Amino acid sequence: MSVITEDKVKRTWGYVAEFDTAASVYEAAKAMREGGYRRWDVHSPFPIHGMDGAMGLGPSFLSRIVFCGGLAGSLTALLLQFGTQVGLYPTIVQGKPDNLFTIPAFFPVTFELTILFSAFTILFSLLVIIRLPRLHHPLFESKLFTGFSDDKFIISVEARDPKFAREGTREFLQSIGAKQVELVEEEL
Amino acid sequence: MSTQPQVEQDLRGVAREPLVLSGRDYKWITNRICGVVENKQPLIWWLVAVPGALLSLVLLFTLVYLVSTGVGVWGLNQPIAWGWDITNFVFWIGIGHAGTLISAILFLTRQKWRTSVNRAAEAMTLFAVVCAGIYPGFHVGRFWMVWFLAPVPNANAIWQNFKSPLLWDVFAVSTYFTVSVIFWYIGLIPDLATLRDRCKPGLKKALYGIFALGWRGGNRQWRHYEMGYLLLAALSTPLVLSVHSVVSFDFATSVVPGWHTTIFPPYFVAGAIFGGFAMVLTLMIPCRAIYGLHDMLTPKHIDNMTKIIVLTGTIVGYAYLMELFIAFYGGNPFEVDAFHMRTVSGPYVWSYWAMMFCNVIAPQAFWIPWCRKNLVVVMCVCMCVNTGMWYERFVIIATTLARDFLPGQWGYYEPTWVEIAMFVGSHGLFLFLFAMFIRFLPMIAISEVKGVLPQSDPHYHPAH
Amino acid sequence: MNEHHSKKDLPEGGELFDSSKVGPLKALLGLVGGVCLTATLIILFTFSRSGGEEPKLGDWASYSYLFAVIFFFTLAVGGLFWTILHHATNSGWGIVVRRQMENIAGLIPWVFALMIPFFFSQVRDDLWEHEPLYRALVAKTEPEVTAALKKDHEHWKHEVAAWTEKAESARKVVSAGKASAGEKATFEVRLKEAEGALSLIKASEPTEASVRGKLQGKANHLLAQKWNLYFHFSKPRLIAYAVVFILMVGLLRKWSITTDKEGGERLFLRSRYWSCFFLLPFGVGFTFLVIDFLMALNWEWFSTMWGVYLFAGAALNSMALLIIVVTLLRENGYLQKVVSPEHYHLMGKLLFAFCVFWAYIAFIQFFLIWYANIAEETRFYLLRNAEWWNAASIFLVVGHFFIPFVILLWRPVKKNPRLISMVGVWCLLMHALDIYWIVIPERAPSLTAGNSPRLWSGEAVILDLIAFLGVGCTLAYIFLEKLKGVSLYPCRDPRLNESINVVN
Repeated sequence: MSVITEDKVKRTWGYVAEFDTAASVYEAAKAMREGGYRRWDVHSPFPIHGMDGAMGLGPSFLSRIVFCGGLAGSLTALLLQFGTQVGLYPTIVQGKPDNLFTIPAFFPVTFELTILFSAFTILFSLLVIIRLPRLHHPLFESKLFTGFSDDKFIISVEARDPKFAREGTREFLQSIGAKQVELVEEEL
Repeated sequence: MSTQPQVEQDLRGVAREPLVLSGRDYKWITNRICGVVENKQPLIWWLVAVPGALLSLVLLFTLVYLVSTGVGVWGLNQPIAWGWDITNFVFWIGIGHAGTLISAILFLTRQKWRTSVNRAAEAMTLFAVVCAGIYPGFHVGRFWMVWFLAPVPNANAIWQNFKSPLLWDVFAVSTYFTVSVIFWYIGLIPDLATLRDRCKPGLKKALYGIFALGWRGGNRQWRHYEMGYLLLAALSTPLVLSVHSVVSFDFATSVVPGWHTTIFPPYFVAGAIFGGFAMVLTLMIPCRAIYGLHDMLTPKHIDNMTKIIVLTGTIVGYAYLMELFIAFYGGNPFEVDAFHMRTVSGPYVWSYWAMMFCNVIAPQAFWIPWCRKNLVVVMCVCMCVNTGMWYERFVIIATTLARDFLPGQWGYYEPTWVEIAMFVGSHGLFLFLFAMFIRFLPMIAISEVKGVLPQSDPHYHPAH
Repeated sequence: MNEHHSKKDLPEGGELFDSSKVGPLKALLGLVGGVCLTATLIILFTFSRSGGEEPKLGDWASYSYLFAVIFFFTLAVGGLFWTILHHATNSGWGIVVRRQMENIAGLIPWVFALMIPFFFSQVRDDLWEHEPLYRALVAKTEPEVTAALKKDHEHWKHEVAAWTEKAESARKVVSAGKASAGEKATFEVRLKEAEGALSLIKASEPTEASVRGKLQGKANHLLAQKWNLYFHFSKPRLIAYAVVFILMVGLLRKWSITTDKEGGERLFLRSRYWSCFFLLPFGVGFTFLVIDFLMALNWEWFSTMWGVYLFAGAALNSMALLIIVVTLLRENGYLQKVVSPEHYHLMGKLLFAFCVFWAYIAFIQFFLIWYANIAEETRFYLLRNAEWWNAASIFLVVGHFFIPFVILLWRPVKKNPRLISMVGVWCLLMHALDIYWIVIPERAPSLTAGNSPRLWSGEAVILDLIAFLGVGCTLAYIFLEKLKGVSLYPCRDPRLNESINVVN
């Protein structure tokens, strides 16, 4: 579906459809899922409660990754402290032994590093999962789309979706309550 | 409507008050908050930012003077080797704890009213931690040797003492700063996208665009984003608890009477929440008036925060009295004398009672509803609390050190002009940074405030 | 999505507990409770030593009884805490389970009734040794001095025998001449040591004068602690705690039950108003009660954290008990329409939060005392790390914190009534261990005035068990009795709808 105008090659990316209220986009999302669409999304100014269920998405799996990150932090801290305090440079100060029984004194740093590693894991794995940073995206070409960060609710459907049809999808979007629908094209 | 008698549902005292007043919609919220960044700043902003910048220069000057001359320019000496520097460090770090704690704990406990204050509280946190970091950083004397605090292999094959509370401080405070930045920044991403989408193409749009990372607000992003935010809140809460606990370990692990007491850690944490809410109110009440945020920062918000202040103030009071009681109960003569000199006969008695008045007595005004509604009273009490929290640290540090075990070692401590100038300068830096924050970033979390409007519930149907 | 219920679907007047169904259970509880409690009380008061005799059964049982009463006191008072907190924070989520919080709190008057034995010196003198000591010092009575002298003398003989044996064994090696030169030198040093110690010990044979001096030293410490000021009022204080706590729970429960009949917001607002004020006497009363009862078990020891530590355990385990009670009611067909997995999720989160809070407080109290290493403070932990108590301490860290922590991290557990109740049962067991660990290690050293070679007396465990069963079954019986007659949830509370439909 590529169109050549002058020297720019454009390809249909998909549709964006605008909705006015959270309630209407919620119903529309349910209809989209029942309509069998796969590559689509709901863009909203804030996370809508219950939208995961409406779109048929499960709970996020981020927490499991973070658990591993935290564990790595604990182990790093213990290794660092036991390695330096017991192995490399044992010092008997504060009347505390230089063996395993010093572990209460190692607790604060262990705790801090656990949190630090977990937090970094959250930041980086979150960015990887949601595929950011991506400074440019075909959606940003759309006039309708930018409303998502203000007061509009947008459903976007990609042309890559197997159910996508140039006319059928537009009509479908209108039938589920879209106020406006716009075709989005991307430059190649 | 149903014919059932539903009297009990529409009662005055039971109804939940709306979090955003005047039935404001999404558009209004976006315009109002972004307007603060996009429009010209009012005169009063300049009256804060410019003196703030000048005072920051004073701070810079004193730091240069300190480094070029030596730590002796501070009034520290035996027996009082910690004075205003550590007092100010703990003071700022206490304020710095409040922001993240407020926004994380209130998030975990599903207190939706947090949305109007959390952004500013978190910003306040970061700036306060910056101010706090200056003191121990420069207390080492040779600032360029600060890297010795980090466990880096070095030519001397010496390693840090991981059994030392001061080293825990290094880890705790730096972790805290890093995690707070992450927490704050992740919260900012959707709002930066809003600012990006409102800008005309140009440098501003590019900068906001870069920091917004290309946020598209899709639910496939939101669901992971929300989980990430929740996890960060869940991590930040014990983190803040641990950091202020670690700060209290600096004192409580010692055997010094007046410092070694087991209630110190939770009492420091309660104090941080207490002082933090007071500082948030101190900053937000003027902002609310200047930028017209009354519909988002409603009397209900202020009422809630004042109630937390009276609660935590009372907890702090409990800790003060418990310390006194246990000194009396335990009968350790040194402990008894330490508290006797704090409260009755020592050289710093005035500071103890100033603390008592500001932290325990003044907030009790908030039991009275009229005081919670009257902003002048609220501001006065909050200023009291801000002062009182500084005194608390001063009482703990100076009073205790001034009267050690041996009467021959007793001394008295007074700050030098350098210490005073640094303290004033750090306030300037704090205000300057806060003014910059107001100028360039949305000071209320736009997306979160929108999320608590009644029409944001997908099951919402407007009343007939 | 879960369907939205409203009050229309619910029976008018709420759900009533059918007492006839639990008849056999009640009879069993009543029987076991009655028998065990009577047995404990008889043992407490008839087999009590007088003066400086060897400890008798009743003296060992004093600790058992304290352990049992304090365990159930923390649970009941935790119920009061959650009720007050729910009102004071203007919450809505927990209305449907609030009646059960109130029922748990409703045990408070009965727990205070069970505290009556603590007014009598047969029990007091075993638990709080400063009292007989102080009396003896003030009155300078002879039996105490004679008893202390006898005890010191026995201890002295024991020491002499031990060192003589050491000296003899070393002498044998030295005089036998079979050992190598190095070994011989070692044993010569040992012999010298033993002989030196022996001569020192022999020289310090306790006499009446030395015992008096020692007692006077303790007296000075006691007087320095101003015990004469604080401690003289411990009985009036106990009455004051009882009045304050019974008043708070009585009022809140009465207002709640009256609202079932009259509806409206009048008493709802009144409860909210007063609950804010109740927080203060609750905190102060609880703190000083646990200081009087538990911290005073060893009068030389103190910790400013003590009240907070006990409070953390009380709130945590009262929530565990609440979860179990609600689940048991649901298993028997009650509360089906009002309590949903969302409520379990919320209660599970609170359980988790307090599990962490308890660990934080417990760790810090230990940590600061361990780190600073001041003699009068470390005694508490030294005792609890000696012999097998060490295993109990370590198990407490694992069982009271790590196990529930890891399990409760997992969301499905918090939403599943059966699983979360099992975690609750585990928490209660750990709480029992916690209280046991606080009370019982003091027993042997106190009763035998530090001369006991062992800290653990296995036989006394039977007494602990009987006391625990007696107090526990009696209170469970009373609890079942309390369920009768009033709705199992506040059926006309103005926030009921909000609570039923809570989503988190």
